[in-house]
Amino acid sequence: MTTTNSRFNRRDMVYIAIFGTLWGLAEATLGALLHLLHVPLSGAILASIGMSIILIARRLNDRRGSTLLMALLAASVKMLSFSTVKLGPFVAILLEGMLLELVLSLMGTGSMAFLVSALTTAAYPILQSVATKSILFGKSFVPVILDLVAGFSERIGYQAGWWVLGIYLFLHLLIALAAAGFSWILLKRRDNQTEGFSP
Amino acid sequence: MKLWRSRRFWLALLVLMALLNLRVCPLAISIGILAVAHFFNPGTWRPLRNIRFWIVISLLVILVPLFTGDLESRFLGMRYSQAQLDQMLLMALRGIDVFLLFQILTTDLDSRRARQVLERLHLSQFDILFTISKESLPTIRSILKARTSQFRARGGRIQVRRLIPYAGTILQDMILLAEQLSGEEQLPDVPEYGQLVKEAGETPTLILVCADPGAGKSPWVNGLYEHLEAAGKSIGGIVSLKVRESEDSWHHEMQDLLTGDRQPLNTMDNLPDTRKAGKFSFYPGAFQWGCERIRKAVGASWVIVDEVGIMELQGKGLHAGLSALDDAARGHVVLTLRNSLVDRFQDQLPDLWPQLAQRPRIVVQLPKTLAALEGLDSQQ
Repeated sequence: MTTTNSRFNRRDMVYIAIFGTLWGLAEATLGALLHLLHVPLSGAILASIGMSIILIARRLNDRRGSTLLMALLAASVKMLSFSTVKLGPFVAILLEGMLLELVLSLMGTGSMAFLVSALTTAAYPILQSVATKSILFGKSFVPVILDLVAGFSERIGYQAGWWVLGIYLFLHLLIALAAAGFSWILLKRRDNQTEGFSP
Repeated sequence: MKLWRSRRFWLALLVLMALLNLRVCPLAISIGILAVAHFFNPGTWRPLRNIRFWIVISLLVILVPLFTGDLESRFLGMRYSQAQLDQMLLMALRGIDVFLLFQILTTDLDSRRARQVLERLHLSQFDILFTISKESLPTIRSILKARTSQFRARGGRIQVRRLIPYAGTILQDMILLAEQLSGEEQLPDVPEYGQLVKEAGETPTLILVCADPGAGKSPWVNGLYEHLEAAGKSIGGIVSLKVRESEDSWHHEMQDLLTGDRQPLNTMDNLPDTRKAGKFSFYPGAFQWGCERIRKAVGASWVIVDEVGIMELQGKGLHAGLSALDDAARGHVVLTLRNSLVDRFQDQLPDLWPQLAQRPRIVVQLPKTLAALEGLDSQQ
């Protein structure tokens, strides 16, 4: 599947604006709620919701560069929804947009692109978390955690540490795949309804 | 403001220098950094009160010494590594201090200034996007709020089966909004009033005006009323008027088209022992008033009833008035109803009002508009 490479017309701009705003609103409202309720894996949940909106918007209006602009808009909406600026979420949304722009520009908007987007989204919060924690706690953070997993497995047995880590990674993957599948079903459902109205 | 004249810059530099020397006296330096952060803005260390912040630190300080390194020390019968505990305490203090440094750098940055920076960047086409976003934001909010209220009103557990139609409806709303803003929405043809009158001719006809809630059925029939009045036709019946009390509350009134009299129909206040639909309680006697006014209109050349809802299809509400029309009306009958009820209405019509069912029928489909999306609240 190919992407149209041209300047954005009025329709493109409106689609980017509507879905970018929707993403920003979801981040601002749902993000605050998840944070308030201390929901585990909230980063993965928010990233997957963002991916879902990106995939739908891109499929409806397949323009190269649109995802990046959507991310910039969503990040701005989220940043300006607070009375003071929070740079962390701004950067996180922008990075997610850049990664998915890359995937969708290279692969189009077919089922394989949805799958790769899900894998990217699953990996992204983990990488972001590792990068943030390494900045906070130092470069030995990752080796310390791996030592902990190994030590835990040795003391408890049954490879328990690796199982916990594996389940943590699997949950990220599951959330992202579910979100991509959800978007795919929604789009197919819409396609079928649209076909129903065709002459 | 020049960078080197800002308090934020100098305090951040001070904290950075302290951080680089953290190993010299970790606890004292960390307390000093906390004091500097507090002096700059007490809000900087507020996020430290969040339990999430301490999860990773607890993981490091408690679990790492228990499971890694040489477990040569004992505490409450548990073996742990003192060397690992010291290293983890240092890591934890570093984590807190680096976090405070970022907080000093970013806390209290004015969002208005950030907006100015974004505007000053003159990113290609971004300012246009931002303007569209600002203009569409209230509508998007309104759609999300209304759809979520609908979803919650249906009750039950959150299940994927229910989430898909919910998200699908929001998706359709967003697409509709985008298409309308980009000017590509194909609006259905709505007949002009004159054209409708001509099409109805002299044969008594049943005219159904169908639309989504809030799409403008009442304004449309008001326009028809004015057109018919100007043409010298006799018009009777009732129309519903939405009377807004505040941003979040409103009620409906019925207006008699023959006399202009009004009667309150419902209220959002919880009236005891009255009929209820959604968040509205209906005034006792309101429907009886409506039915009487419809009965008085049977001789008019045009009778309008705005609107026929689920209660009328269940033999309640204005059902008796409509039955009077069925028996005695000689002119055209105009009924408004929601799109979601059209099929059910057409199925039940022969049983409920057989004379009306035999009339020639004209269906006026009003387009879905942004007003309809924004007016979704009104159906809750």
